[in-house]
Amino acid sequence: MNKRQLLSRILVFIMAIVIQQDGFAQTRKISGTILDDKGAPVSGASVSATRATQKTSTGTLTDAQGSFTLNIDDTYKTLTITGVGFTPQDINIGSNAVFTITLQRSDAANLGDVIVVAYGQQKKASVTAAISTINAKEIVQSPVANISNALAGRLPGLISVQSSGKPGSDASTLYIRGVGTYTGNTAPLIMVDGIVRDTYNDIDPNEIDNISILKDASATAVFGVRGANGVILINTKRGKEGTPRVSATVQAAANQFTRQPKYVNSFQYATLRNEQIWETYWQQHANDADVANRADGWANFVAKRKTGYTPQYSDEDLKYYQNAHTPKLADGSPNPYYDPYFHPDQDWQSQIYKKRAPQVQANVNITGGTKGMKYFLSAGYLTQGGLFKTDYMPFSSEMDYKKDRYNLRGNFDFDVNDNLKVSVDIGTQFVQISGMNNDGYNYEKNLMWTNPMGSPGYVDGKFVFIWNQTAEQFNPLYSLAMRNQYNINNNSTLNSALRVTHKLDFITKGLTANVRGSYDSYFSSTSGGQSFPVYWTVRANPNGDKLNPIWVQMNNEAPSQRFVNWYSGKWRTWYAEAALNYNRTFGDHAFSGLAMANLSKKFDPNLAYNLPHAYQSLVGRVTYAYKGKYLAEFNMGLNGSENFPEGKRFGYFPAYSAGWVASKEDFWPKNNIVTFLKIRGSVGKVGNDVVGGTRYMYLPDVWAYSSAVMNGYYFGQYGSNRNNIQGAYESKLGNPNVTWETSQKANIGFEINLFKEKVAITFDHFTEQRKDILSSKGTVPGIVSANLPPYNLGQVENWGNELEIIYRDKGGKNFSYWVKGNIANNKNRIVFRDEPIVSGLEYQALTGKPIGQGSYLQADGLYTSWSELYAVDAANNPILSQPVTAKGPDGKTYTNAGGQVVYQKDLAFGNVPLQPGDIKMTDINYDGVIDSRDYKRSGYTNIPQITYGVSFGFNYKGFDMSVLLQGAANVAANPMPATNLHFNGTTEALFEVDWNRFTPERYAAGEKIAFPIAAYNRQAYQNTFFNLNTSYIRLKNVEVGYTFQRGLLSRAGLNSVRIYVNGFNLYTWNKNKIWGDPENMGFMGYPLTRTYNAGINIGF
Amino acid sequence: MKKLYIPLMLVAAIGTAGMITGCTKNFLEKPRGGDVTVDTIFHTQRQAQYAVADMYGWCIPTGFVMNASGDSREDVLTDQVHLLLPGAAWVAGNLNFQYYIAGGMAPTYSIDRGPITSRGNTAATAFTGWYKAIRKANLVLKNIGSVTDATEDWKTDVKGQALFCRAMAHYSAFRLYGGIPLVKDVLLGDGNISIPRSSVQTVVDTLVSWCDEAAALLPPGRSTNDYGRVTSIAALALKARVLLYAASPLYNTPDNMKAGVTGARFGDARDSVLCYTSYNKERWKRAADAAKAVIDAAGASGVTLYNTGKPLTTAKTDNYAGLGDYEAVCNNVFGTTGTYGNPEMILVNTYNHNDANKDGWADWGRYNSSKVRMMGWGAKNNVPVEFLQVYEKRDGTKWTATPSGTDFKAYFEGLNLDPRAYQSLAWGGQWYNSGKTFLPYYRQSADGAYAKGSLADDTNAGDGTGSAVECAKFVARVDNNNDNHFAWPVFRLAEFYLSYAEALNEYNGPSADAFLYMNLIRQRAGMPDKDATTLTDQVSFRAAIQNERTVELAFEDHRYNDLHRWLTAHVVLSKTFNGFAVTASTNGITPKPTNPYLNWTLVSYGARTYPARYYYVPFPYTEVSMRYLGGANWDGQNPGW
Repeated sequence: MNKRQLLSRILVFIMAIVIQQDGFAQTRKISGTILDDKGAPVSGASVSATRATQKTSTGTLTDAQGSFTLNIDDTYKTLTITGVGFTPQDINIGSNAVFTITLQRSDAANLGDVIVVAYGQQKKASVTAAISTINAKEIVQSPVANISNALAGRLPGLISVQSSGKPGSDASTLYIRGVGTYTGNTAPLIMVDGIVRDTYNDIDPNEIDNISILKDASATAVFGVRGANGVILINTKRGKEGTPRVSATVQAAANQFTRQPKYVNSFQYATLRNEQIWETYWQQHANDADVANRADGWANFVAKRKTGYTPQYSDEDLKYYQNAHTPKLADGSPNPYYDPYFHPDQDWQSQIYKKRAPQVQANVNITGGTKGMKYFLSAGYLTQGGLFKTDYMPFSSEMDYKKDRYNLRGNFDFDVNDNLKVSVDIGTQFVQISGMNNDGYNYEKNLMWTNPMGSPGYVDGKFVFIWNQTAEQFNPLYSLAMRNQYNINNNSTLNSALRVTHKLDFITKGLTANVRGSYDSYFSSTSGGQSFPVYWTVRANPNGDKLNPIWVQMNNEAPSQRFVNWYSGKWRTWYAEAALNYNRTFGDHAFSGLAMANLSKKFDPNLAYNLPHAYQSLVGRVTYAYKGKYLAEFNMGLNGSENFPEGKRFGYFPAYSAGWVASKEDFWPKNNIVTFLKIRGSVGKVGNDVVGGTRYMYLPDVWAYSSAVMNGYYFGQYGSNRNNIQGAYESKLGNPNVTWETSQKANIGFEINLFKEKVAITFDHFTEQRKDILSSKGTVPGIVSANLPPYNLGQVENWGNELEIIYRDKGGKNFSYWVKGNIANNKNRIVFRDEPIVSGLEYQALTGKPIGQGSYLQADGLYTSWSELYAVDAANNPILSQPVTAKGPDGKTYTNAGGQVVYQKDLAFGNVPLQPGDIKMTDINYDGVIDSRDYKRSGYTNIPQITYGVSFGFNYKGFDMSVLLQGAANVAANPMPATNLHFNGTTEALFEVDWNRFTPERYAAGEKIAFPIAAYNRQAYQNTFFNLNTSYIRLKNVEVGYTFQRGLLSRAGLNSVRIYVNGFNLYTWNKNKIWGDPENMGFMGYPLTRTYNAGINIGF
Repeated sequence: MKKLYIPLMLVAAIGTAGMITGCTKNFLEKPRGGDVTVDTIFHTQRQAQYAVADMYGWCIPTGFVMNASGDSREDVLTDQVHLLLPGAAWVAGNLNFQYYIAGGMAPTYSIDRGPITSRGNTAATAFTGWYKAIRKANLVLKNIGSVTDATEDWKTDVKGQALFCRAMAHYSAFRLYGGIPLVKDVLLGDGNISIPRSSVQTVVDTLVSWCDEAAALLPPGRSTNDYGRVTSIAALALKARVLLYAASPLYNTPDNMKAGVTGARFGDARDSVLCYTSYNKERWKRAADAAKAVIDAAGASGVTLYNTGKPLTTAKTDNYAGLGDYEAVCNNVFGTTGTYGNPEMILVNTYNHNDANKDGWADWGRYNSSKVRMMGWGAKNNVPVEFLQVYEKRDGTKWTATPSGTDFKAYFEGLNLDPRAYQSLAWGGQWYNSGKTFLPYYRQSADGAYAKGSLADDTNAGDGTGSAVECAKFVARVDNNNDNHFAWPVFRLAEFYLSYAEALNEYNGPSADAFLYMNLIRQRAGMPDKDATTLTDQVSFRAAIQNERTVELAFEDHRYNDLHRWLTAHVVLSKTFNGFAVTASTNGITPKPTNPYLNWTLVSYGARTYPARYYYVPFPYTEVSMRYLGGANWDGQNPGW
């Protein structure tokens, strides 16, 4: 706990300084309101009072009502007001105590904004790279426990896909501009406050000032070897000069699942099973000698089926299941078909899941400072509950999924003197995650393998099975309690950094030097426990009383166990940089430059070879602007990576960009329509050195020992001297010529402001060529059978567009509103991949296709009647001697390799006889059979090609409202994973979608058919029928707030009070809803959640 | 203040300079130590033995079902077993038998599952698995000379073992694919590899020469500490098997059998990778001599046919001592000394179902070997009636199943079949062991008085068949279900008695030696001798010896190879198989609780299809697309694929 002590001491020290500062001079108070040219209050404007000598100043920011107060003494003469997007204004203070100041909008809205770029800041107007940013306000609008989930729909070019909602593991996978490599190394680089950091998800959103994504080569070249997948910059808030301002927020929320697939009840289950057996009978007997190809075949088959078909559930069983919830008949007498023990109907979902779980977030932060010292201090707390019921389990509270998080941060900036500035940042997160430890098993086995009639469930405090039917899946409640240990994981992360900046004006004006060091550490420990629940079975009572069965205890009580803490992960990282910055304007010429060297080392016992991991790089940037019209920039990274051999260890990654602000040209007519236009473009290179966890790829051939028994051998006779000799095997071969994977990126875009900044449009078009992709060879003959290293093979192209439009306006004095929209598309294609391409099966190759595109049998709907397979008689029964011929590409009949005419009935995968309700497969190579050659790469992947977000909102007096709609399109999923092929077995779960299967009766009645017949051919599940469109539009975020007027509050000593309600994932429009939530369709794990949240924010 | 920041600046400047210059050179260099290379392994005998053990793990085959949900007995490809899956299609599916028996084998659904370490994988990794095994043997051969602290004898021995292992892995792929590329060196991963398929003649000659070479280097026997290690007789055994196969019609096709395999030949020069270019009777002579060499060498290695004169298993026995000789052979492969034991093994794979496997849960092997082992959920290894009829009655006559009846236990036990049948099977109503007592293979009775037995088929098609005879060889029964006494017989002496008899007959008709060695096997089993009065010619002896081999070596992974080399697979495996469907019944009398009377009828398992192209398993698409298998002229794929 030394870390905690250290931190708290620093905080106390800093607080002391702050308090001391407050007591300095003899002061008077001035106050005022800042308005814009339309009379609306301007919040966040900087107001500073300057002494006559111009040496020192004091300042503050305006609040939401545009108000400010300052304590000054008589030496202060001038008030300077600056606001983003406004022309700065100086006011003589004189003896006035109250000011009302109207600001004029500057040329173009937000062009005065400064945005964060790699290792620095630039004016937005002069940026030539492709960068998107969101600010603090939007980040905190989403009541999520993980900041990666707050980004969806906000940033054009950022794709986020969330698969799990489990507390502690609910992060979204993020992709910037899609994917450019097929190796799976697609994660963007994450930097927090200018330093690469692996963990960012648990940063308190209230600590964050802005998040930027760096998209093109110009923005990312300085990261060189690590920048190919784009970069996410997260910047925390920093102190601002002024009196201490405290902001406290408390919010409470309820989480619930978004749409989950529903399960069928017992009656439906039994019906479906019987139906499946009925249909399977045809599959088993269609080729019998007295059936196949015979005119009387159908009659023979029907005769056979009369005796051969044995339903699993009798009519009586079905009747019991129908009465499973009806203990009494209408007349009040006992229902003879009520049998809750042996014919139950269990809605396991409602017994396993809670309806809702709580989530509470709280944060207090203080910001303020003087000329000499500025600070931002923040303390946060989050608790997020899980949606599993655990009250029936031993260790009920520990088994519950839960996340508790404590955040502390202090960011300090000291201006030691005019030239020297020191910044100290310390952030920590303490996270505790508890819950069942067998999450994957819970879904795959306990829930997917269960059926509604499996067991009586949990009765009178006992886990109950039916006698002779005690496989654990029959009672998922027991299985959950028995299969899971509880784990409580405690982890703590420390991020610390020290930065020293010194102006070197005495050498040349505009030159500064800085050094920075950081130390991050992480430690995680886990404790756990396990119970051994007792289970019971019920046997039929010989006296026939169904409601009074014989109870049998099946195992003895065993004491529960608790395990002591064990270490479960740790790492530490240090980072150091030294840089020179230059920034100077000579008349019309503005220059800036950056030269930096940095190094980092990570220590983690889990790293391969148990050796620390190192990076080293040199970074350079030069920018030039002429009259703010012509912009040029050069960026470069010279990076070293341990993965490559000496001499080839450093890679050089340059990027060039240019911009032209056309609206500043003299010939540009003064107008109110197009007030700003910038055209910019960039080209450059970035790299990637990562392939999985492979390290030191250049090393020579490596051998390894196997720990697994079967990889060695036994010698000796059993019972006397049999012993296992472990194996030693040739592991990976070396590749002495391995080098970088490079990404050649180009970007062209424009920014345009219309109608006096009411409309701002940004557009980007990008292309990326990823070359020398580090991946394995696919065309080495199998007879080599060596474990080959990654080679520089492969090429992928990736391209797309991004468009963002912002519209802001005011309707009257108190009403302002805005609409923002962004849309991005991305496409990629594997240009080359070293893979064996089978002649004639080019349509199955990966080369030439989008990354991750699946290979599917091509489905063409369902067969809906026998007449599509055979001629039918008057009763619509098939005449098996008269099969229907299949049609070739020209619409005529065709023949197979043996020269026989191909019939539609032959087009069955795996020769499983077809019947109405089966999926119609296309014989894409027209060889007369449906087999592995009829798979074809097709359809969309699970990474959306199109992502978009639309948000709008307004402020009216104290009210504010905003709405975010977010969506994805050109995306698909196959929800039929291998372990859950619907109807895979005899006891696995069946779902609402299975109930919507094809039957001739349902089809004739015109009911909605969402599934083939119950006995569909599972071998052929990988077909386009099940490759479902998962495009969606979500009502991602809605927020309504009210800010109380100042007058009432100031008496209570408060500056502002805002109450608000918001929600997350509120509603989703999509197709194929019956299969579940579109974003993670087919995922077997903790479902996604929806959140309803209410909170209050107090400022004083 | 200046005092403070001038030193600070100095620190910054020095730091910067240091980072840019000083550290650069070594900062990214991998620290020394920790690397295990080929030199580490082949430096000492202690390390080298680990590489040898790894080679064994890959090269020595086993017929046990591995601990992978998808694995199953190879028997399911033949008429020995019709597998019914427990209502879960992913079980036992990786052998792709379900496609195979319906005529749907394809390069991506091939029945090749590779060496035991890669079972349960797809066809592509199965094929490369054989070559991974070969690579391991080649690595040992290449490097064993570098071991510094071992005796030359030890190195010579290891060299012999590696030669055998390399031959064994080649043979394992050869029996599936026909002529395959012969890999004699450790291949590099870069550069062009052009090693096409070798002709059958080259493969056979090469394997034989490796076996000869190995036999010369290896000792004839091993101490008990080294049980499971290759001996010179094992090398001779592999040679004998290869030569027997090479002489058989699949590779050495007589003119009168060519019509049967037209779909499995190109009809041009490419056929040399599939068979010899012309028939030559002398190959049978070579096969006979090789088999005789094994028989002759057996004595020197302490290998004998296990015959204590106890052909029958004692009724209701729970002990190894109670087993009949034939059952004892496969139930106690380890051959612990005592009144029961096993001197018949030439080479075993020492893995059994009790050994923790790579997945740490050995039960899959038991689930998928039989339903009876775990008594309940598991794959049902039904033995079709057609295969049961291969067993003669005790008096040496043939029999045909009665289509229906009322007491299956009485009927089946009353058939009085070859004792080897009852010693290899489990059936409805059988007293299995004292833990499991009577086996409940039956469907629910028609009146509902009896629910279905726990061994009834429970499949996606419902309880449709109620099959009542299951394969139980290598399923631990006696000694309280103890799997530890099992090991897989790679070679046992009986095989070579039968091979010798078969080859003699094919070479020159039924000679005295042919009868002698066939009858030695029959005598041990408790079956009457056959003689020249009934087996008067080559053709009738051929039928008898093939039948004998089928019975004696049933469920030991010979049937697939034998049906292929005899060129009878397309006949035997292209028909409808039937099972005994058994239903519980009271038959009007109060039934015994553990043994209800069982009505039976014959039930069809459906028709099987065996296209001629099945004689050679297709190479994976990936290998074919690289066009090295066929050399310059063609892609190397087998005919019909």
